Amino acid sequence: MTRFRSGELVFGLVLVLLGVVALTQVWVIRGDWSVSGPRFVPLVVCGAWVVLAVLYVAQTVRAPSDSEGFDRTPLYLVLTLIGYAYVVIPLGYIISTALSFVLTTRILGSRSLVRDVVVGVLLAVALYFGFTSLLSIRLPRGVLPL
Amino acid sequence: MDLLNGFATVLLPLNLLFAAVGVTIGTLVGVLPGIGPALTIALLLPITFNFDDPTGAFIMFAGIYYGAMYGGSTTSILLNTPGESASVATAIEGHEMARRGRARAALATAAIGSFVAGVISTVLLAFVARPIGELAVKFQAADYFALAVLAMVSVTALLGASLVRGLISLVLGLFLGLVGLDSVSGQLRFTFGAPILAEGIGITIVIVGLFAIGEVLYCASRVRDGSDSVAPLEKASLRTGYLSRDDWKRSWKPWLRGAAIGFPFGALPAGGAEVPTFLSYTFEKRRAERAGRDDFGSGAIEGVAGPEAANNASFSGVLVPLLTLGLPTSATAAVMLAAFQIFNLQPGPQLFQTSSDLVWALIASLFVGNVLLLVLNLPLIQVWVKVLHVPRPVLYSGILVLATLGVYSLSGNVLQVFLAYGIGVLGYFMRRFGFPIAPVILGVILGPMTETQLRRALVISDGSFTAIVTRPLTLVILVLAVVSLVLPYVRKGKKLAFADED
Repeated sequence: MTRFRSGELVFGLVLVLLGVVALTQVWVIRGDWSVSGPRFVPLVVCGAWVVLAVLYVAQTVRAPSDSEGFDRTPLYLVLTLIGYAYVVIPLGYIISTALSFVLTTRILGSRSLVRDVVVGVLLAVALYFGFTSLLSIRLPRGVLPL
Repeated sequence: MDLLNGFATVLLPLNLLFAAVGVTIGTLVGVLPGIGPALTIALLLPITFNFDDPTGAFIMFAGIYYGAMYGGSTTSILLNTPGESASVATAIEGHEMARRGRARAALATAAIGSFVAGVISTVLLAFVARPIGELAVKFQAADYFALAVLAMVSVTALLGASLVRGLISLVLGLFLGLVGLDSVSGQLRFTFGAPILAEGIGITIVIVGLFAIGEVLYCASRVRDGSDSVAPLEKASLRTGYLSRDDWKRSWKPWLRGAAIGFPFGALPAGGAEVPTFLSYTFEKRRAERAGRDDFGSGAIEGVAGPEAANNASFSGVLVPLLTLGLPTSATAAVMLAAFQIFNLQPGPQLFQTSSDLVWALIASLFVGNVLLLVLNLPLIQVWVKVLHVPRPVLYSGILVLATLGVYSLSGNVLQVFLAYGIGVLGYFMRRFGFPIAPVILGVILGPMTETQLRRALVISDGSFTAIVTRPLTLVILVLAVVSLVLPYVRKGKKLAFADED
């Protein structure tokens, strides 16, 4: 039993679980069960979801194992992104973008910090002014006196 | 003479500039490894939202699309990392040519082949679009329902390693499309009490989440391998268009055959570019074998010329159902449809009446885009090669920044950014466990339309399904949908599809 296969099994079970949750939500929708009403298609879609997810789990259990190591890089990236979205308004677009750029390049295994900082700051500044002045889309200004 | 008016619009200096900018940006982004045309357009979508006039935006789109497609071929040939399944066939022979020091010839035959096929197929598009649009006026709700089912099911069946995975992808997409306000009854569905979900999940959020964020998360786990290397270009020679006389002789027939295969397959409601590119590849290979040549697999120029032409021609083909029926049959077409909807334009039979100018300008801009592609790309090959050398960490971090900015600038809401990240995580696991992505996109885009048409048909028939399926046209289309689901498994082992998606 390799990690890849058990990971796939967990994903399948999560799919089944989410499908069941979605299916229960069909009863939350206001309306009747007529085929042209708002509940019919959701019922079909969620029902198919659960059935297919169960089939998938059954396939996975029987499938020959395929090995692939577990890597934390995606997890760290997601955590960085969540942090980025949290601070983008209070800190402002430029600072938060430059910070998260440098952080993600680190996570992705870059070794030249100076290059990453320079690129990150330039990119953030260019995007900020490009979008705010050229495309007149407002981006969070944050703590910088712009 | 609508097309001439279209040209008059496109050839305005400003619109010409938009087309040139589109081709350049499209190539620039499309060349980046792992980025296909659908994502390129999705990432660049926010730029065009600021256009007041949809014509300029769509002219730029056409440029971006052609640029992105050509950029993808460049990457496939030099790096052997096809950004979409339609480039897989090109990568087989193209990369072999590059490894043998014939990268320039491969790139040239791809560019010129794309140009030739693009022009031919755009002419065909200009001829068939209006008649089909007139035919489509006669279609009823039930037929639209059946067509949408056919499009979703056939794309799902053709892509991906297993049918169950493909169908799960499709169902997830359909579910995402259901979230929000039901347009028929006005009831909220699957919002879990969150106001942000009441307006539905935007297609661009899904695309950016799945293609950009999910893809980067997926690539991140293998970025440290660093195994791929860029094939070097040989010194520029004085041969015309980088092709020798023999190359020309061997290329022109595959170009024409590729165009002939690509356009009709793209135009079918079961379209997409995967089938025609592989058909073209297989066809050229068979011909070579019959002629007693065995250079396929070791850099046969026909294996680049044919599929590239088919790829480009199929895009004009895909525009037929998109413009006349409002039916997208590839991820790229789905993004284009989203763009139409942002400008409050509804592709379909009425489009040729209501926005005739725009449609013909779009078709004319396809010609211009093809010409610009050829003019810009052959001399600039060196520049695109440099882009391939961007360090991976910088590249992927940049994609994450751009994806976040794209979502935020569209909505101005950080919650939407979180939503896109969440969909990105889903996309990561789907990629990792071999689920195709394109069915999700088609489900999100076509799901609401399919449901509306089905319910409309059911209201007309008093809730009777038999009344719907006994309509001959509807029945035929639905039978085709079932056949397309079953067919790939009848000839198991000879499946054309690859486990990737555009």
